[in-house]
Amino acid sequence: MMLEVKTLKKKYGEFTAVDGISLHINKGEVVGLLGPNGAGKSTTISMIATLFKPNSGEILFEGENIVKNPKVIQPFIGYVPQEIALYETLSGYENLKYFGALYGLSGKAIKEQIQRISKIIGIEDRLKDRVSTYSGGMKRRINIGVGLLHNPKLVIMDEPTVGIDPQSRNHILETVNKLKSEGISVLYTSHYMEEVEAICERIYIMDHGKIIADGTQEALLEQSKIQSGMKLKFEKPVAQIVDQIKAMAWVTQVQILDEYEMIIRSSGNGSSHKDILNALMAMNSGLISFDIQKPDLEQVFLHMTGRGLRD
Amino acid sequence: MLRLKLRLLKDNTSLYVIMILMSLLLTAVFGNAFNGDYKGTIFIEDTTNSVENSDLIHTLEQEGSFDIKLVSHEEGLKKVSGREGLMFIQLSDEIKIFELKPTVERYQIEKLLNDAVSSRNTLEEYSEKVYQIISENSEIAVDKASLVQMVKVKVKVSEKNDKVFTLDHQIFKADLLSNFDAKIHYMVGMTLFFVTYSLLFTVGDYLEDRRLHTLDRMMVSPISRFQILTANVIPAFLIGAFQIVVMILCGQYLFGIQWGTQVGLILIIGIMYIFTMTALSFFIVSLVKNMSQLGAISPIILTGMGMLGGCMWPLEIISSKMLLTLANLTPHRWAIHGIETLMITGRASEQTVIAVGILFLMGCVYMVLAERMLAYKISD
Repeated sequence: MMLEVKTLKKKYGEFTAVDGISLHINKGEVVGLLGPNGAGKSTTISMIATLFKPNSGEILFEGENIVKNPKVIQPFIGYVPQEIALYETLSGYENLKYFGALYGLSGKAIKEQIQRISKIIGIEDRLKDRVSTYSGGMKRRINIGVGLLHNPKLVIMDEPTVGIDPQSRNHILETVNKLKSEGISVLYTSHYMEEVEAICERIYIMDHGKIIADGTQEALLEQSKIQSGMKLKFEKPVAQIVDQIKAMAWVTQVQILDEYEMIIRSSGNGSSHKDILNALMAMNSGLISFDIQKPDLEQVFLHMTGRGLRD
Repeated sequence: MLRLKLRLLKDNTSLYVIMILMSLLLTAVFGNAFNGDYKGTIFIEDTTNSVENSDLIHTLEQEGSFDIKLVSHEEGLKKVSGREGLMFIQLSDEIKIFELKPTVERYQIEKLLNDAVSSRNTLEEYSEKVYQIISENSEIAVDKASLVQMVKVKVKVSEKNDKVFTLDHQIFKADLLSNFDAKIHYMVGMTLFFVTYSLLFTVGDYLEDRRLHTLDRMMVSPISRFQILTANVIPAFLIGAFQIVVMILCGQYLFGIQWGTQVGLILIIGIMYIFTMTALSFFIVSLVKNMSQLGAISPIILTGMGMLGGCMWPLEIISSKMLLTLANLTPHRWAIHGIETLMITGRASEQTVIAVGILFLMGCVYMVLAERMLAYKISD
């Protein structure tokens, strides 16, 4: 086990930001920490990155307690903060060079590393430009690049895709996959469940400073027992047919979205969808379109907390 | 880390140049303001009409800093009461000064009177010695009064022509505090005062690291907190040291300020003062959260300490014991005192060692306080 966190707690006065959480990360594993804003994700990873000291609990890196001796982990951690932590008056190259020097990189070694990392983050052609001239996505990529310069064993990424365009987001997700293929462990926090679903092998879901569920995506869906649903659109108001739909044998839940749209959930497997559609056609319901909705982490979180991830 | 900080300084070069130029300009303006055409009026009553007192009045008139007017006792008091002059001096067997309240000029006139009386006393002693030597070693009958008068005249002529010997007024000074030179004081005070602003601005770069979250990157890296602290302190110290050297040298060669014969030692005190003020600046920075807060409190702290420490006016005019005690807690007071002593006496003394020692001690205390405060804030 590369990292093990045991009953970690952090309080700010009377407010408990992190309330006795435990988690672990294996070598070469990408682990997601999912939760809404204010759930305690950033505080948790700040403590793992040795930025804050916890009030209680243990953080073990390859068996060593880093709360007592943070120097053990610092050379092996790549920290990517949520904010763009760069000097805007310097070029991307200078930022990489100076932050690399904090890890003892200099001369030929730093030049080679900058070359390698700039390829990974896809920003080679703009390296010599001032950071202030970069787009938001490019700044995010340099922000990640700084965290990777010293070949860390564990990369901690705090919401690395906030506020950027889809192209840059995809590039960042590809970067994480590359790190994974190189055997680097990644702790990835986000409140975008699509990202976590796409790249993480295991997921911890946090809310109000506590971990409320953990496991693989499949295991989380299985635990929550959320049924798949169908989003239906009609040409006439759904009020005219809602009672007939509720009366169908397979239908367990009906959620009206607006005058012409509703979501229905059904028991059983995919064949129930076909039976429902046949029944709707037979009753001349005016169905225009349908969309099968598979259960996802957003629904898992909704199911567990009664709130959406982005509420 | 240090290279990064020095590289970042480059981006603010123009700002530092402006700050240094402004400091130089303001120092020159303040300094020369005390060297202008304005002459305060001093009323003098000579009750003895002795040669010595006539000489004294003549010396004051020759010095040219004040407009000297001879008056009666009543008239002198009336003029001063009516604020028509700075002070009224009564010359009898002793010297009495009447004024409405302590003024900066009071210390200047005290210095002039002290110098004149010291010179006169020395001439008396000198004449006496000459008479003794002649009367003991020669058979020629000598009229003591004539001889004394001749010696005085001869010495005066020699002093004027700067040929036989010159009287070194400084060696007769009994109490340094009474030897106030307004121009020197304001030049030293203003030089030390203005340099503090660029120091605080440079140290404030630490807050910029906090705002940009680049400090977080440093904190999670293997470098120590002490390295982070020193990487911020050293550029500020270098900027401050450079500025004070520029101000002293430009003052000397551009504005004709006479820093005396001990410029090297003055620079040492100046640089020690920079170390102390850099540490103090870091302590101030450690107390605030951002640049806005720093911008709000720094003029209050820096100006307040500058005033307390005697940058704006000589501490000799302060009578409040509480203010004088507080002044001892400011680096400004020790630096000014140390530098002025060097400028006036022209040699290193116990005062120089005390000034350097206290400034160093203060710097260390502020540095430890700043480090502890930052450690507390970061771990929280």
